[in-house]
Amino acid sequence: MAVIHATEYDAAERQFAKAVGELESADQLLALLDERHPAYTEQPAAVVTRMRAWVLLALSRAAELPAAALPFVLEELETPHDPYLVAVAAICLRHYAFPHPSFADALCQALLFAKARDYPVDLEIYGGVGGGSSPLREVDGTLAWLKSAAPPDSCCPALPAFVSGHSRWNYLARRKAAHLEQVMLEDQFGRKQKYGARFHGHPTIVVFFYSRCENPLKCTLTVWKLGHVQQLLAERGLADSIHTAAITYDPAYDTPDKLLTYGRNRNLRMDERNVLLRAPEGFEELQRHFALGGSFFESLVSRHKIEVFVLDKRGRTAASFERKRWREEDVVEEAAALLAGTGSGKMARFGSWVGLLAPLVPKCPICWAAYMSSFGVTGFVAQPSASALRALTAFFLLLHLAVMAWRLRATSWHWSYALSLGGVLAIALNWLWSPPATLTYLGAAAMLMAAVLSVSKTDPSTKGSISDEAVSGPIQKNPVRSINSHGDLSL
Amino acid sequence: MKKSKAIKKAARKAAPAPDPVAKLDVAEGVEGMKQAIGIMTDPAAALAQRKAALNALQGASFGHPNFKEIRGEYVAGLRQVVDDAPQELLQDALEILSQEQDPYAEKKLVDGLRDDKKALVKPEDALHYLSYNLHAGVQGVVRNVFEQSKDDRVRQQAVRLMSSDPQAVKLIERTLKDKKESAEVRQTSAAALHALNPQALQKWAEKTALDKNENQEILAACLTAINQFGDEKTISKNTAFRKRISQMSKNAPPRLKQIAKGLSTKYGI
Amino acid sequence: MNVDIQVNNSASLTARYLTWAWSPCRVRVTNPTGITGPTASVQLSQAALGGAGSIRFSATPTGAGAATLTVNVAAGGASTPFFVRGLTASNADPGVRILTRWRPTPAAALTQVGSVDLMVRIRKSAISLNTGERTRLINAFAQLNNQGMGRFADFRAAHVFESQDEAHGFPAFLPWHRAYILDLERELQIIEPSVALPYWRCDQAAAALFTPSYFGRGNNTSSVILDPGHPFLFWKTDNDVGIVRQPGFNINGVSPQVLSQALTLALGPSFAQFRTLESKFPNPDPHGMAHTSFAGPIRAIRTAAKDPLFFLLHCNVDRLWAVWQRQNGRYNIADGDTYQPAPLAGHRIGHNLGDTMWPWNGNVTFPRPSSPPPGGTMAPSPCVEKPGLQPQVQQCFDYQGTINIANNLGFSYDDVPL
Repeated sequence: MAVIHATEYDAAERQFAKAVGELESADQLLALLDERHPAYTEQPAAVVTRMRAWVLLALSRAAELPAAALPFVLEELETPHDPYLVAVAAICLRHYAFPHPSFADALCQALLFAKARDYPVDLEIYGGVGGGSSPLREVDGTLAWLKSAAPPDSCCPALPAFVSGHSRWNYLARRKAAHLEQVMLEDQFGRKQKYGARFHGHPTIVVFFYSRCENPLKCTLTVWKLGHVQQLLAERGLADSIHTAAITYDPAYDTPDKLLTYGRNRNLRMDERNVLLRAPEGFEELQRHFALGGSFFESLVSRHKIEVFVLDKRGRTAASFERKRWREEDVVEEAAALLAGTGSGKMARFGSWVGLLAPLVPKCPICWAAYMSSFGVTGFVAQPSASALRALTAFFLLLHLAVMAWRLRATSWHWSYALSLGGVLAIALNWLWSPPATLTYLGAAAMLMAAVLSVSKTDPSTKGSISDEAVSGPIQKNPVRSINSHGDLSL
Repeated sequence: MKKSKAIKKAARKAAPAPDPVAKLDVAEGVEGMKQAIGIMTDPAAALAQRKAALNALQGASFGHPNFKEIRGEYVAGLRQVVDDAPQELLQDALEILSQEQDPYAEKKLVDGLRDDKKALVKPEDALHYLSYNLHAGVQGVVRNVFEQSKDDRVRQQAVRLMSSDPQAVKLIERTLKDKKESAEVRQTSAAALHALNPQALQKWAEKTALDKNENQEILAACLTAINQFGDEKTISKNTAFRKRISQMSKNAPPRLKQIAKGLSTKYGI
Repeated sequence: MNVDIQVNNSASLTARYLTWAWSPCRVRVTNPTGITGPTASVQLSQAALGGAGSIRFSATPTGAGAATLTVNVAAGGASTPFFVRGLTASNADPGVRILTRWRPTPAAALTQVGSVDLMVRIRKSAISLNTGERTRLINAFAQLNNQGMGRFADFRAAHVFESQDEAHGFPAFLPWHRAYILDLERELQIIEPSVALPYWRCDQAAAALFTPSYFGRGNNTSSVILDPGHPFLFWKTDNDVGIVRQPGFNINGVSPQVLSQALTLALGPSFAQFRTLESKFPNPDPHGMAHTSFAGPIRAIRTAAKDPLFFLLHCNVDRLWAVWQRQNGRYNIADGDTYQPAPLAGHRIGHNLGDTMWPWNGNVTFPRPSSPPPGGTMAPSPCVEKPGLQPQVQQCFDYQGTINIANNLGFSYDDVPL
């Protein structure tokens, strides 16, 4: 059996493989699944594939696949492109807590691929080049696992919301795009326009792609679906109000004539409101702003995720659909809702303020605890003679911090936790160095503000955050079972 | 019609005996395919037999209903052939694996380009096989090979791969303009530049067409580029070019004259 | 008097192309001066033009036809139908002129009152094309490729791993490829209407095909050697330029691993037997083994369509089917041996007679490929209506309208008469 041993790869890969084997927590492994991780910088696609497969394999060795890994696993099955990755992803999926009916679509896609590319893979060594298994064998195994699930109406908890890949930001939470205003964009007809001029004044549906993408289920499909989006917009009479844009990851190669041909061959409407764009200078700005999930090798994209954004009339991201297969109707619905909201700006702002105040009305017991702990603490501390209550006060302070810590895991808003902590410290300091109670009130205000803003975030972001459901605990500390005479590292 | 009949007659006269090919003595169906894989990977089997087995299996990949069942074994077998077969056979295996974007083959080829001692095939062949996968990550290796090699076949193949590398535009342009380069390398450079920057190629082509000292093959390539993909507006304004084409359509070697006449018709010269 | 003649019942110049199949035409009076009475009798005849070829006329789409035909045309201008078909092929456009002549009085000489030029456009052996035909073919291919940005990219993208089962290994291999090369041929004809896709007869010596002036001479792993200024110099598919193809056999002879036409036709009288020509492991065949007669992209499914020779190879496979159909009278899908009878559960989708075929049907529902079907619908023809925008398997059998003239797909082979 022809095999490529770990020692035959470049030093960078060997080190990576070894390092992955030594990682102890799922969090650390999950961080490696972010396409932007520095480990993937200037690595070609073939190397990135091996690296990601090794990380996923390591995750599959956990007692249970963390939920945060699901989007990545499902992505590999929905947009299969490499036999090794597909085999690994299939294994990972059946290590999830429970089979879920929604996995069927991804597995069917993987099955189609596996039948055509059923090549031998070795799931014990880095790189997978060897034998012992195959994508078809693993996909079949996962299908059998899926079939073993109870019928849909009696089974399964829901999957975490972030698995859908759909995120939304309310008015105040949208990231400002002012720094992009001057980025020059060139369209398929060679017309140049700055970002601000292109995207201001109307909602825009933006996708990212590149013409040299060899995975037909990613860029080609994304742009083709954008064509459907255009049709849906036209059917709903929204084609004039909602624009579309496809921006290339590969501005050096995707010149205007290539953009034009690409769009034409995918039946894309191309006019003033519907464009394909490249940013010959300033693509890095776009990359940072949109937190594009991709890595590059020289000018070539090594790896990217599916990314669709709905921008508001100020060019700020209001919603995104990432990684998972998205429905054209959902994207249009988001843009239409945004349009309805921005149709009268006052309504949008009013809505946002209402939204801001809404958290003041407790929605859940934990939120209640967060608020009340803030109020309660303030009340207690304001009773200078209630020294006997200080223990209770301390208890509620700690309770508040615990609740905020729990919210932190869901939101990743470290600064809101810092604000709470600051407030608690301020109150504690005030105890130690007597009244006036200015610090106390400031501390209480800080705690209240932190609590309110923490609960105002609507959907958890999929951008690298790990929610409390996601982490099932550290993986077993058994990083390297053995190193054989070839230097193969096996988990 | 007469000419084609004559060609046929000549071809029949000259037809030699068919190439000798070993008869593959295996069963039909899956069993036979497994037997063929065994022959293909058997170092003790005669080369002709092993080649026949490989060709038959590859032919079966074009839709034989049983092929899917042995596809994995076939790929494993090809990888094995890469490791221990005579050159002629391992090249076939390497190409087929490369066409499948097999990581095993790609690694072997890249290693061979980086280190002569590990090379399984000639560099131009390695470059050709790697051209089947844009994402094999060999852009830098290709540029290095091009810069270091003096072999035209290698350089031509390297230029083929550079036709999708925007970082190589300047290198390709330089090669195209260098009259010391071989015609084949320059012609491939023209095609590669056209893939990366059609405007740059047209500009060069219009200028080169006026160069009476230029190699005829390169002149022909220029004119073909303009004929096939030229921008009418630019050409209509280029008086010197139009005059040159008019001259060439009356007085030039036959091939150039023919192309110039076609250009004259197309652009109303 | 003057008359107007429409070939294929169309006034379009692009409709003036015939095959061996009967094509509906019509003639009508445009200027009735001199006609006494409600009708006039006109004679339809033909004259050879520079492009050669000859035709036959008939009042009905049956029989062998005749060199001339006399019809009555209404003085009021109503059209009179008639039928025309090719008898010998043209090699340039136009090849034949239909003349309409009329005697003003019984004693008068025949006067020409109308004419139309057309071409008998037939798929021929690639090595039998003359210089002009080859030049037009190559130019059309090069423009369809358009340095990688033309419609050729869609044809290349339709023949990959993901779509394997749509076109290979199942009964509709032959119908699918018939539709596929027909689509390509029609795209070539949009660029150059006189072009018909030629076939590479792999069981006969074809050295003239593999020359620098034509489809290129093999150069190991380098691009094929082409004449200076050859349009294929700028051929581009995927991310690389050039055509790479190295014959694994002596091109002055024949590859020993391909099956001869005689033995292919002898595979059997039923479709189930004949379709094994797709691959006859471990024996020679005229398809898979023809592909693997070369080194280069053409030897693997995933990359084969990068090489324009692929389409000539498949044109020959299709021709073999056409020859077999004629030998065995296999045009009627009601005949169980014309196609492979389906089991109770049916064939895989895309392979049942009533199924539409990917990619033309735009279907992305499992088990069809989920990736966008490249190229959209089938290219229409100005000459015929079938197979329509989304061809069905069953529309690929009666390709010359033998059973029903309306089934005509608009192509014929030089060695497969009606």
